[in-house]
Amino acid sequence: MPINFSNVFYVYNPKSPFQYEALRNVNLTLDEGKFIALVGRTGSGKSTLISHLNALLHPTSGEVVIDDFINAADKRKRSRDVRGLRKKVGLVFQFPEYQLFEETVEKDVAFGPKNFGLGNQEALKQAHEALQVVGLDPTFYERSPFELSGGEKRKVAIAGILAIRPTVLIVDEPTAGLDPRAAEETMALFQKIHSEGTTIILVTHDMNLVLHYAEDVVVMENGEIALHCTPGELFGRDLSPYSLEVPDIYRFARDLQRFGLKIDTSKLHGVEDLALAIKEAYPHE
Amino acid sequence: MNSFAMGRYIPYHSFLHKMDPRAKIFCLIVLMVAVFMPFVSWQMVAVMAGVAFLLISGLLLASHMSILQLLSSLKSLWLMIVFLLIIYILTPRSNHSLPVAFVMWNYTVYWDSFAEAGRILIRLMLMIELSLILTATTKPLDLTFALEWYLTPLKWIGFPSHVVAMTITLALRFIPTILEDVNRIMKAQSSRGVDFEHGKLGAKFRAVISLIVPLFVSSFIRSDELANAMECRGYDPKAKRTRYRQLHFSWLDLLWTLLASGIAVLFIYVSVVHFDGFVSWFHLETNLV
Amino acid sequence: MKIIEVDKLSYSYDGKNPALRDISFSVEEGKYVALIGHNGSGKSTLAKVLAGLNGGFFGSVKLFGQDLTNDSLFSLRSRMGLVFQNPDNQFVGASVRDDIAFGLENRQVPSQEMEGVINQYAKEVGMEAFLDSAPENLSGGQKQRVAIAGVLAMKPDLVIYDEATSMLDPVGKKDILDLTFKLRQKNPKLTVLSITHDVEEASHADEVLVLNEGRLTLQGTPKEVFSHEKELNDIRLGCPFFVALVNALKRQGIAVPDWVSTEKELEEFLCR
Repeated sequence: MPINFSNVFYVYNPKSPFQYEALRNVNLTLDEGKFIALVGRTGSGKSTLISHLNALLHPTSGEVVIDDFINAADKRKRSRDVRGLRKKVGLVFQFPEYQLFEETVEKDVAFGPKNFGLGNQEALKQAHEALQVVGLDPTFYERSPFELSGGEKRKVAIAGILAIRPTVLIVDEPTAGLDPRAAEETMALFQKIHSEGTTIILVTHDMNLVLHYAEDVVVMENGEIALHCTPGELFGRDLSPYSLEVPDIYRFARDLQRFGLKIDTSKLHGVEDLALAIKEAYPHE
Repeated sequence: MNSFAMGRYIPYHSFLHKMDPRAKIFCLIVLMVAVFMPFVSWQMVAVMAGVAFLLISGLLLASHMSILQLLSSLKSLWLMIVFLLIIYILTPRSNHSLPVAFVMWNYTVYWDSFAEAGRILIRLMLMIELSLILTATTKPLDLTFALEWYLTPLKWIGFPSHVVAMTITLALRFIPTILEDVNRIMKAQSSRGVDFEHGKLGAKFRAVISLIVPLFVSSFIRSDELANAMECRGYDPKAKRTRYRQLHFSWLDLLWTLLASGIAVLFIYVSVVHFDGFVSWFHLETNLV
Repeated sequence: MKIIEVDKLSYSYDGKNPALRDISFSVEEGKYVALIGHNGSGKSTLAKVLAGLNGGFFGSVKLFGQDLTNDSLFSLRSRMGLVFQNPDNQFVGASVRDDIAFGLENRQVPSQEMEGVINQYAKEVGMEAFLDSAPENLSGGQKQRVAIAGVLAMKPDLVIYDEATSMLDPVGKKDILDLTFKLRQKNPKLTVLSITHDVEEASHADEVLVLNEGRLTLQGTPKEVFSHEKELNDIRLGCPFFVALVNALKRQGIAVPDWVSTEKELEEFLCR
């Protein structure tokens, strides 16, 4: 499913004293099936960008094409089947727990599928499957979502989008507020979904996640696309203009390189890789 | 929210903006009483209405409100006035002081009916304009302080005026935050296939539930956490507290209070004494040509 | 002087499931202590007990040498300040000024004095340019800075951060940590207890306490605590980057000597 932005501008509150240009001349193509990271400082336009992908926002000028849906500034050109689009493009917002409202966990997860036309039984079936994927067993089905812990609530919220079976999954800061292990589990979940063919777009501030999971990185700055490359290429550059933190591994490796140690930074994904690279570069007794 | 112009505070530097809100509330009430005084003849009504109109227009100009805002606030009145007019035409008073207006299909319509409806229209207009002047020139927080000051004596009979004022202040502070919540929840539920705009009644109901329930839950959590934070910062609703923001009653406030009281007294006098300026000042007959 | 003394503290919300079991520790004046644990380990519960929000606990809790009871609560609270997780849900005032004033009003500080105090502490946390800003126009980090200003205005001896940086972006987190460092330099007697699950932050503390399933499982300097890599992984925490790297190097056969305790030192060691 190709995703393409052509000369997209987005202005909040046009013609008012609060006018704000959030997207400027965005031209971007995202490949199907990839694990893409979207990064940039707060206010660089990431949320505005992803809101165009499921037609929550329409461009002020230009157009966004997602598969066969045209999200154009011009109303006449704009596709009408928004529901169909939202079935294909799932969007999990930051702190998604606040979207929970049903009496039971399974009902809440089934809410999405039902809105997209599935019958009650079918919807529940997809809900159960989604709950299984996020690691919640059947004992959770009939419980009230409000009595769950924070981490469990988040899983229910994510399952609520997974149950819709989107082909593109956009997740905005999915690990915000989670402890290290829960963050790891959540990312492993997305990795698994990705391996089954879903395109993943990860919006994040955590460069360590980008290093570890992403195949493709889009850097936004001031409403524009500043960079579009692989993580390896990204971390080879100076990231300070974009207010991005270099992952610890890269930072350390580059410091060592400056001291004269020859560290191969092309294949560093984790601490173990770094240790190995140090060993190989460091003639040790 | 920008379209909700009525009743909104408009930042400016007029003398009205600088006035003590307590004085403004007093003047408002007192002038409203003046507006509602009954007068002995239609001509007097016209004269007093003219005076009131000039006065209040002057204040409106001073408050720097836009014409658009003014007109939109009066929009809602038209339908009611037409309705009242029809009622007054159909039920004329027996002692009409004004002559016949015209005869339509064997039915006599008197100018009185128009005058009655007109008087109500003028009164409502003036009342709305006075209220708008207050809200346009006074920050909601200042209104709350003034209200709290007026309610203070009620403390002696056990009414928790300071707690009520704190509640209102907190509510005002959280309105923008809760609006953001609404926005966020709507986006999240829209992404799950909810259509907030179209659909049958049943679907719309579910849509509203998917918005209201999470909103309530998050608001309750907010208030719980807020209460904890306030407690930790030493807040005790029953204890005495000092006040950072002080209200200063100045000579300008005293001036306007006296002026407004004076005008109200004048109106009351004219009404009570059955003063009919037309007869005594201009020696005119009460019949219009 | 021991600012916090907790002895055999146990607490349960519903009377059946214990949230805190038999916890004992103490915090000396002027120290920066990090209390870490996974979500659900009981850290917030402990913070609330210390703040006096969770009464009815078993065991003893002493703050500034005084027992924490319903009667002593008001006076003890005047000596400590809490900064909570959600920047919005502790912002009371309609503007930065009004929010800092809130605490002063509660303590019946005379109104003439308030202006000066507000300006002073707004400056201290770097928010003097935003004194008249409303909370909806501030970022999470800025709101937390205001919360800290409000706390400092009461001149506390103890500041407790209850996951104060959890909801902030990296810029906001760094902001708060830098500010805390600066404050401690200015006032070495200030004791800070930071409750968090961020192990990187904890690695900069004087002492680390590890909570798991309501129990205090590890205690000591960051170096001591983070050497228990396996245990920390088991309880869902993990280690700071530096520790993880040293352990990985050890696994590769590179023995890192004991005097190496920072990244810089490690770089020096590796490049000698």
